Amino acid sequence: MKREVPIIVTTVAGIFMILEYFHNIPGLANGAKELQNWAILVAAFALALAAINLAARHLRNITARHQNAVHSGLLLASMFATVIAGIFFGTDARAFVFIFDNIITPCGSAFYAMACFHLASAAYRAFRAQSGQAAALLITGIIVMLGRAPIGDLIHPYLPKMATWLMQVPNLAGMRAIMISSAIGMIGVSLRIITGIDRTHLGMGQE
Amino acid sequence: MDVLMKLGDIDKRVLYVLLVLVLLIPMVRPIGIRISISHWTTKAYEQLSRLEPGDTVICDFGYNVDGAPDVEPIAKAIFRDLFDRNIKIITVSLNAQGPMIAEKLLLPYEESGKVYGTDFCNLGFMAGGETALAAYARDLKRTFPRDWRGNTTSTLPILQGITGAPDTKAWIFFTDSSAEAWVRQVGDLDVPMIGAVITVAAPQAEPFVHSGQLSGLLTGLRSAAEYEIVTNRPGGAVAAMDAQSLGHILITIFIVFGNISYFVKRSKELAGREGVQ
Amino acid sequence: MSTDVGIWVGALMTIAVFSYLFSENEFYKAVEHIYVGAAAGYSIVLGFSNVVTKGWQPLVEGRQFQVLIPVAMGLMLFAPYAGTQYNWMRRIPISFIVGIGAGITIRSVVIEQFVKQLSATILPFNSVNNVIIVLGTLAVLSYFFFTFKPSRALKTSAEVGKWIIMITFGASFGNAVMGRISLLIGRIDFMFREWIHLIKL
Repeated sequence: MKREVPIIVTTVAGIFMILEYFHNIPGLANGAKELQNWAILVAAFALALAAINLAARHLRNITARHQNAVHSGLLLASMFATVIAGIFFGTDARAFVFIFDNIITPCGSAFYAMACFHLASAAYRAFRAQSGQAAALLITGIIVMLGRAPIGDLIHPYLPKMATWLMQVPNLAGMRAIMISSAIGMIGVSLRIITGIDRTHLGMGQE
Repeated sequence: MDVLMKLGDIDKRVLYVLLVLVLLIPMVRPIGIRISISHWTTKAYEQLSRLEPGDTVICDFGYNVDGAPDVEPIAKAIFRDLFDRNIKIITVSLNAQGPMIAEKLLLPYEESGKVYGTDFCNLGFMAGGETALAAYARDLKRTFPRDWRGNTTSTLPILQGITGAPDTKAWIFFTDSSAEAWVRQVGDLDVPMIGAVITVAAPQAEPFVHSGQLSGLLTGLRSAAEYEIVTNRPGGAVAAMDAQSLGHILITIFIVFGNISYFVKRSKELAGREGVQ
Repeated sequence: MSTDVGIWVGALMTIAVFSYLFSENEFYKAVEHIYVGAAAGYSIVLGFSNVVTKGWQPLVEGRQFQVLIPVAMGLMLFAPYAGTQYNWMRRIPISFIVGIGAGITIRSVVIEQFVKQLSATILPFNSVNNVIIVLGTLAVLSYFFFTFKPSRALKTSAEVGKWIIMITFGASFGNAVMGRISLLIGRIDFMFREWIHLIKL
């Protein structure tokens, strides 16, 4: 029973959503909307679950006097401060907005921007025209990079045109094939989940 | 020969400092490199310029603060254009940080006289990813019973007569990931869709423009600069374009230096081996 | 220089993150943990807000008792905290979300990502670009055939596909550089305009 019920739930929910989309059966559309709203609500619980799992792990670090206990303490302190500010004072409260504007925003942006340095370093150290195909990648990269920047026009008026052509013709062909392939993959995975063949999301493996 | 080989041995910290300087200097002292308008921006602008005063559009915030420097300038440029033309904006958010970002962008317009609930509203975020997107694209009020500010959505004047995306004139999404989720879940609804994606995701979005599933595509800071120019409101994105250009030149120089050094070293190794034989 | 406390906090946070580029240090580690904590806290707040809007308010104010079903499923996610013997309960809400997600994905992928992309590839051979798009797409697709032993023709086609993919990745690299530079420009703008006031324009 503990094994069968989740599989039945997955199959019924999946088939219901597919039927609703392709068949105009009265009441089905309304039912599908209701089910989607239920899924949203369950996902909202899941959103908090991930953060609570993280908190539990760092709490264990502190109680076990782990070498990173101080860092865990900082993490928990900032988490609780954000939760208290957001839940008890509201998302428009000054404290919550301060945390968002002055901690989450600069750190998030800085972590993401740091990739620029790594990319520059990788371009310098690892981006080599070792073969014909690697050279094709490298030359395309440089043309697109320079052609899409305003300076491309100054270097050569043809450079932006070449960059646009590369994006709209060979890149389009490559990306489209990748997209069609990934669509086939997604259809396959979804079908395996709905039919109960793939149960990895339930921690049960495949049968 | 040695000098050419050493071109590949520059310390990475020197590269980092050079990169910062090359980006900073043109921001302090702009050069003013001319920015041409790409066909992508022209197409998106033409689509949006068909909107009439009083029309309602949905702006979906699908990016986090991480990708904001590249995507947000597009949102700013579009908001400025749409509000100036008295077009109503409903914001929704596929990403959790979306409502806070939207609120910040909407605030100046509220202070300058736009009325919340009538000229614009911020419906907030719903968990669930694509499931939520599929739900709110079809039924906004049912998916968002309350807006971000806690108002009951059924009482908001801007939402009167609007059930889902087909009741609006355009769906604009801003994202720091790929456009696929929107194409999948909003693509079958009868509404023109414009994607404003982070530059990294531009190649992936190209097939959707070609197939007509996206009516327009704006990609990153460059598109924001172009949009500022076509709407005659040059702003922050235009100012950043000189730095963008010089940054690209520097990375190209890094690649060229690295390759020169690599080929010189390789030819020397080959010559050495032949000498031994 | 700015006198705003928030700007100073943001600037110090940015410096701490970038200090990692030179070496990992305590300042970086501390800020990293503060950031992760705040971001996780933000998720809890948003999750809580969604639960209030979609669960509590419809139930208490709207007397919509059917909401009890997803609320019960949501609570089941936390069942393992009551003891490992309740681990199985978590599977029910997960299976529900995954089932709905799989159904929603499959129905739209078939049309939007498969049929429409295929039909957009059926182009007349009246220009070089169209020929490259059609044959290039087919060549790349042939490169992805892994389920059977390729014939000589398929091998040739796959080789062409590999070249197209390299050009595609090159375009992606060019755009990646462009995007990452934009992100760094954003941070530099914040540091030198809002904090130090060096950028005046």
